[in-house]
Amino acid sequence: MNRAAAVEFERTGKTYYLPRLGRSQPLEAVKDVSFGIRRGEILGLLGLNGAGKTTLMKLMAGLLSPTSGSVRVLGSDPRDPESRRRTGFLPELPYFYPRYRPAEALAYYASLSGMDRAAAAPAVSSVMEKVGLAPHAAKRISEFSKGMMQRLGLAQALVHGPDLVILDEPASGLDPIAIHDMRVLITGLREEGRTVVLSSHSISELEKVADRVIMLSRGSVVSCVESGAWRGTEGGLEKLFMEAVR
Amino acid sequence: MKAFFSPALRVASHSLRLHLRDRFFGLFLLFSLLLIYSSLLVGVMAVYQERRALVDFGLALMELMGLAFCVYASATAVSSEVETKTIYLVFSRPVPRHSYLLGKMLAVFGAAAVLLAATALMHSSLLLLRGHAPDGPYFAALAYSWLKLTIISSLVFTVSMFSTSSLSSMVIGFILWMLGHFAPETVLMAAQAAGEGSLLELLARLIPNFQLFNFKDALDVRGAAAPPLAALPYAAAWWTGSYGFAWALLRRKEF
Repeated sequence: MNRAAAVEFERTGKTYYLPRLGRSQPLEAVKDVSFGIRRGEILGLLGLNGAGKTTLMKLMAGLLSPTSGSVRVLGSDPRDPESRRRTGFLPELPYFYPRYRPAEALAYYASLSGMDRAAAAPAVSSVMEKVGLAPHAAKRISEFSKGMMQRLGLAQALVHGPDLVILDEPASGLDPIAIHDMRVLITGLREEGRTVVLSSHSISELEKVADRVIMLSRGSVVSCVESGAWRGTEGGLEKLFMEAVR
Repeated sequence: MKAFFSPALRVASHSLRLHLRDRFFGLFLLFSLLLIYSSLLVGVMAVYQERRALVDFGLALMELMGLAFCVYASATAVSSEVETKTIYLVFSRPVPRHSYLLGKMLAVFGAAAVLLAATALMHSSLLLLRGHAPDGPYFAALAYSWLKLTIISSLVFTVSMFSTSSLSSMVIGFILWMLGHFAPETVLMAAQAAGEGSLLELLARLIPNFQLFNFKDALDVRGAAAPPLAALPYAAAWWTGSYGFAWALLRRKEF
């Protein structure tokens, strides 16, 4: 186990079995993947639809078990309660109970992360301030725009102060100002010493925030590039991505 | 134990609040109110048997409304969280699946108790209005109705773990409810049709016997019946069995 690694994939594979009449059909979503994620870095996952980005994130969040190989998160199995306590996960297009107010939803998720009421109340206020939801505290979630929902999604992933934050398409469907705010928030997490893993279809977004990008194609890692590589290259990350996946 | 019960109680209290805020819960309550108060007409038609007619009609209505709510709430409790992906926000946290399931089941049991209590309040007010104060056996009959509702809820939870849609879970739930009121007859017919000890008879024995809980049928025979205490461990066995089976299915699921 590499002590500097927040996450380690070692020859990890994940196969889904799709129900079909009479027998199930295997679908290999992730094949023999090995890489590590350093503590305190922002790692981007880039790939076409079906490349395996979400599967890798779910494996890190302990929502899925690998079919082969292993995954270690913060030194332990991702399904271990301690590892889950230190991980925050934002799924793509998160949903919240529309009749709740944001603080109610956050208090619930803080409690599920093991925080007691006394610790949760200031954590909820602080995270709402951080993601810019404090002025909307009195609104019901049903009144929220897509950008506010995404901010709330990020808030639930951060409310318990995780060391590892996993964000699946955090800028999905956001307007340019919301995307800018989200970018500022994500880079702020790195400054706090947290490890961030994010997936995106937007190459330009990853270019701006990521320290390193892992490119995936059909469930395999096809390339891993440091930020210096695209900053000093004509055509940037897009060119590197096209070369890697074609 | 704390690691098991603490998350379960958090999920339960959150889910109970959601049930009570759900518009369907309000609709069930409103519909119950209308039906219970319209039962005044039944009482008038019954003339000298007004109390009996009002009590029978009211208890049956409350149980049916409770059934509709419980089947709906149990069938959708987990599947709606899967559809909206809120289950990711729960299972990515240190919440064991067995605690989650227990919390969800307790929430439906609690909501059923609130629904029965609220409708019983309406019904009692009607009885008092007509000069028939509800007595101890009336409340015992209500408690047994609640036990029936908890059993059918547990079963629908189990069915919802393997059925393809919430609608099919609800349909199976209603079928089990009906069969459960003819459980001894179903077992007898299965034994006669396929022979004693046959697979069909065994399957028929997997239907809960709801007749055990129909204490409301004994209310008309004043002093002739005591609440069937054996029904309590019987209910507990069904909760435990259904929970265990549902958990075995949930722990293998990937979302």
